[in-house]
Amino acid sequence: MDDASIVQLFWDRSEKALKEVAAKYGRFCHKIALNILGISEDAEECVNDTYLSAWNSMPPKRPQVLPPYLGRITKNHALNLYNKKHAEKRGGGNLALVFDELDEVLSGSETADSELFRKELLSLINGFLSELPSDKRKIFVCRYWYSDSVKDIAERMHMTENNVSVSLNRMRNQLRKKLEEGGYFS
Amino acid sequence: MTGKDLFEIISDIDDNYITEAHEEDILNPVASSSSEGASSSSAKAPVPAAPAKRRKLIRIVLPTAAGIAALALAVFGLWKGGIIGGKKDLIEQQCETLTSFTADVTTAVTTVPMSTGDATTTTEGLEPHVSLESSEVIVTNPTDFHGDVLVSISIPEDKKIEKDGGLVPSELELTITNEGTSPLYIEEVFTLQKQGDDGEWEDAVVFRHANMSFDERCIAAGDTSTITVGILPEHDELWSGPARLILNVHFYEPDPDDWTKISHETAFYMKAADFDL
Repeated sequence: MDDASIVQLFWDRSEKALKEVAAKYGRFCHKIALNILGISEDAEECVNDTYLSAWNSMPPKRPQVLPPYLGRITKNHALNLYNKKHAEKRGGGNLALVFDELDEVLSGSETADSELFRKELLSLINGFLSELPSDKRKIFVCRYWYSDSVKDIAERMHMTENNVSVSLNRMRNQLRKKLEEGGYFS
Repeated sequence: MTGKDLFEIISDIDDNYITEAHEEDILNPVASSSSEGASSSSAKAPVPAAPAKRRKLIRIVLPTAAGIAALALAVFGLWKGGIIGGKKDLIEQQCETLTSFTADVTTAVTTVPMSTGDATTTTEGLEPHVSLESSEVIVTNPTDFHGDVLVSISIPEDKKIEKDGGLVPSELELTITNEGTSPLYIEEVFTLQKQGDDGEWEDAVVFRHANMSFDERCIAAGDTSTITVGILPEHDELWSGPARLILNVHFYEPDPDDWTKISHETAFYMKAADFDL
């Protein structure tokens, strides 16, 4: 069933919408949550919360493409649970390493933390991604959006783990340089 | 600002990039490529404490997930094999192909400085001299010459849908000829571009063809293959007039035992094909 038909089922308040969305995107959402939380039961809880949020948000929303919409909901639930469980110590899935790597991009700099700054930074990151070749962009998004492990990315992209790590390192440096050029570091 | 803040900002990147990065999982929900994800199926994992209605819904939903997906694949197989569905009356529209690709790729391949052991080497800093602005030639780990790809686009007459008093297609049929010396595969996600008021091509619709296995998207050197691209539900966004299809083509060195398995990728092209919607 295509995404528009599934969204229509949500709008029709048909419980079949949940069947369809679980069949089509259950594993996709589970993977996103598992990457952040590292525990299957926690990930499953997030996926269930995602179905409920989707049920409550459609209508009024009518997303054109479901995976990013559902993925964002799952990610938010997973991050909330992660924050709740790791308020004092780090752990869980791949997230701690991902945070550390992104810390490198900003290291030694002072940046503002306003909503306007965040919007500008998002625009810059979208521009940065648009300039990357598709295979590099996939690696970046797999790591820093999906929190995929380097091993997973290597398998997905038919590369060695070392090559993935090197590519990620280069892209972090490129992003940092772009931030510097854009005057984002004071 | 911390790495965590940056991570949260990255969470809001363009939807297309999110879809692109995990397109195989999205398009093949039953067969996950993730080793971690594969270890725990959402269809089998225990459901935690949840409100009664949720538990009921999820119990109904999850056990049937695999069955629904299998049924969908079976129906698609029958349709693709011509057992169900009507015969298409095609209107052939030969698209514009990039005739300069052959020479350009050769130039790029022969001038790329090789970086031993790094499969992510690209033509960064080089000028590949592509004739169309919206097209790119990106060569990864080049080993030899790969040649060109010819694409023609047909619009099945019986797959057109009325919109704004005119007809727009709900399906495109791509005939792709591999004129190279290595096998290639086509990525599942395609972009349709529209010409803006200033004449520049801009991304308009991102869509994907019906679920096809990886080997069905592989084309051996010298062979021609046809791929059907369903553009529902995005047909609401279509228009009448000039359009440009962007598809991603990967050449690869095949596994000696199975040509549809990749030993390593050797080149990646973004291919532009112009036609009228």
